Amino acid sequence: MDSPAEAYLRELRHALRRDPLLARRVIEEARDHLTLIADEERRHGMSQHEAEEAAVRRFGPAGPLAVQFDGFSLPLKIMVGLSAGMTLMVALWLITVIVAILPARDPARIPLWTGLAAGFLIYSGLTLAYLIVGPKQPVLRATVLALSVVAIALGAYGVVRMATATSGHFEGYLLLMGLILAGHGIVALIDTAMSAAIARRIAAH
Amino acid sequence: MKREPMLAGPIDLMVLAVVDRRPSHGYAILSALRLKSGGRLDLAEGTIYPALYRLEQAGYLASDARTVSGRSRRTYRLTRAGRTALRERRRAWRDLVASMDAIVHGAAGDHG
Repeated sequence: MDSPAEAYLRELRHALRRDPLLARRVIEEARDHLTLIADEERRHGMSQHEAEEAAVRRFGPAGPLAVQFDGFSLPLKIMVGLSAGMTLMVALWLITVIVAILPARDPARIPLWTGLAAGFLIYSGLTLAYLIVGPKQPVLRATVLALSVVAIALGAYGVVRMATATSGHFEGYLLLMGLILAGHGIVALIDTAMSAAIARRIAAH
Repeated sequence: MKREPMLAGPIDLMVLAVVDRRPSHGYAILSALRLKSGGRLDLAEGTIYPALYRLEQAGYLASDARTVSGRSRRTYRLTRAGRTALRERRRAWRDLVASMDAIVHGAAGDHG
């Protein structure tokens, strides 16, 4: 049978199951905190079991505590990371085409494709940088947020353009690029907007 | 059940003030809050962690984990942005207390 502290930690882990990385960090801190409270209570004469029960009472119920961590969503961060990775792959593919294929086949398109590749590269790089240090860098967050709006607009434009193109002008890879860019834009916009809202709420206090 | 919004601001301010004195872990911050308040501050102790995360996400705190007695312990310290935020919040808090004082005691005086 679990000790009261371990039973509580299991309950807390369950309450935070949507975000395993956050759950791991919270559980580690809660375990240390509960142990320190239990040590304190034992010094006041309680048994180990009583001390752990007191520690759990003092720490507070797991469910309401887990709710207070809303806004630190790992699944959303993973989606932002994956979409930024896909945008980066598109940029690398474009660079390969620019270097290996276009000079011989269609040199007139090199400036346009270079601009596209640079845009994809910068947007994916900034998004990945935001994921690592973003919440602490309001300027970076605002930049990614603004670029995400542009990405959604450009991506949607590309998708609509290809979807309505006559069969002779339809190019599947442009449709795919538009979808990837718009998808990246949507998840990055949601994440940065949530992060900005949290930061505003904190600043308002 | 979410924490009362009225309490979020004061908790954040108190945490920043304690961590400003010395880098601390959650239990030490709680102990300092209890000690400084003369035992009057009676919070569910787990409440401190969402506040610490929130402040770290906002860039006001930074943290490092290390192993102590076989357990992971995370210590929080104030960042430069945190120091600025603390200064501003202290000023805002002093203004609020002065206003409240004037209203509450002023009102008692007016009608008493």
